[in-house]
Amino acid sequence: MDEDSFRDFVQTRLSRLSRVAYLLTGDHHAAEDLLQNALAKLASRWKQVRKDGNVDAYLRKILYHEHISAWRRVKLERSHADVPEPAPGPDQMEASIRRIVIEQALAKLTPRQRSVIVLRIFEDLSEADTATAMNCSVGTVKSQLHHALGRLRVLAPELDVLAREAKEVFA
Amino acid sequence: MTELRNLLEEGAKRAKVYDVTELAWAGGRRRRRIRLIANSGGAAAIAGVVALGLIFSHSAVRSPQVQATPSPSPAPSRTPELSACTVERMPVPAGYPQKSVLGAGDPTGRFHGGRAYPADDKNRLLLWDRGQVRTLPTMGDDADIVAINRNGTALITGYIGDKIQSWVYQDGQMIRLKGTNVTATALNDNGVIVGSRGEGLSGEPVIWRTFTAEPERLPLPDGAKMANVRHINNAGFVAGTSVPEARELIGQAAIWSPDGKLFRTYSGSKPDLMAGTIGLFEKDAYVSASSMNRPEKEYWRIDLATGLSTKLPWTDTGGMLATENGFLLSQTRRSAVLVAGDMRVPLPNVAGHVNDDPKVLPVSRITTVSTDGRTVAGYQTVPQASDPQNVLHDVVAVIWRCQ
Repeated sequence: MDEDSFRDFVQTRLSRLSRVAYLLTGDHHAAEDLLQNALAKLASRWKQVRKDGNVDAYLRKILYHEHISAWRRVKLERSHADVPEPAPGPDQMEASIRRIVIEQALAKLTPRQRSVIVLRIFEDLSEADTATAMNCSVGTVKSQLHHALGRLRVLAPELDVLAREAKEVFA
Repeated sequence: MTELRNLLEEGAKRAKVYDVTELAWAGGRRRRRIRLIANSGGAAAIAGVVALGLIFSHSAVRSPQVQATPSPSPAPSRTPELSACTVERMPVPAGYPQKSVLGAGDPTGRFHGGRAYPADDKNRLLLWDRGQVRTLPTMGDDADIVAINRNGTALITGYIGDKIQSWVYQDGQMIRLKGTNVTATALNDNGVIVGSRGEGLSGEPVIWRTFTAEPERLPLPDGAKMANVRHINNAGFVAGTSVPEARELIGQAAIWSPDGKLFRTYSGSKPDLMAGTIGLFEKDAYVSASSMNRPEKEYWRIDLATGLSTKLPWTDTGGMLATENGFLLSQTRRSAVLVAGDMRVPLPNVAGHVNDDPKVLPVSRITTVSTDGRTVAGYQTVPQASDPQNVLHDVVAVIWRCQ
């Protein structure tokens, strides 16, 4: 019964979780490892966490910490050249370039900066929920996001969107 | 932030669907089993789990391994009598939140090191001297005190950008250790420091002969790809863990002699044996070995002069730390106890610590025991003062004093 409920929980979220893991790591193998390790930790406490009721928040927290731990444990070799980019048509060219630029910029952020971008912007979590996931204060979330966006602007000045984002966040 | 979110969504489309559900469930079951058996996961687990076992190499690097002769013996007779322990929180500086951890202590029980979690830019590193707290300058991000010697000299690690860095703090001075991506893990009373160079467990073992010296590489056992060293005694012996692959849990324990050469290695006799180095002292080293599949754990004492191993009579499965005087600190999720021969001294929980409420995930971690067993320290969860529901918890640094 526990096993079934765990499967149901994961299956309904697998696509989204896969995307989050990929954005956090930027690498298919690392994303798969990250997701597997985080879900294994969740599975090991499934009964208790399920009783507690806030499984998504708990999983998010594990995913974040596992990401930081894995990064510290193993030097991940990220090579975007390993993943062939599908050849874009003329109208897709700009979008593809922008995507590659943002991926390369994300790869140069620290794990915490990358995480705050994924949690706060991609997952659209509130500052408070992001702080809970990262086990830090709201102030730290704000400053991390500020640093992350600032660093992205330096790393990817081609992306005018980043300048606008910064104004939105810190206006 | 819609535009950036759209850009991230575009990037995320390259993700595949990683269906790891079954593997994760199996991994979770394995984790539950390991928790039940080992139930410690302390310093040894962080170090990378050492596989020590019943096979013991009596000679250096390339010598064949020979079977150790288990010879059960009583705990060392030096063990003093203890009957009870009291517990209290360690103080934090005025104006600091209660959240704090204590991760290191010297062998005498006088000095302890840890960190606090102030919301602003206040110093985060904490150094206690006979229970009196002061702060040290924060170095890098996520800084922590990882070791401290009898002189109160502390080792600190932190991150600068993506790189880990280490410092030594002595007499008011913070000295950055040489080397890039270096993690100092232990120091002796002579100021000799050991650690690793590289990313986490993938690092190579290194030694700094002085605070300003370049790190010297320690040799790896044959077939090992990496090692983490965890202990150094005053004679200069170094003990650590070496494993063949970055993600492999099963490996071997290793001891280096003061001249930096590999002195002894240990490897598991069975594939499911996992072990941890739980102490290195002037005359001996203590190691533990456990199986993921069997509810048992073995403890061995290794004589540094003769290389002979002696099986100890301890049977607790939660053994995490040993002392030179022959104490074993055993910790399970619900309890902790000091063991020596037939003597068992329980360690009480700090006021407010709850470990039987399913709504909370209790944390209780003992990180250091003094040589005489009279001072034990670590951290435990207690309720947040501002939470009327009593659900949110903080970890706080605690100390046990035993008599």
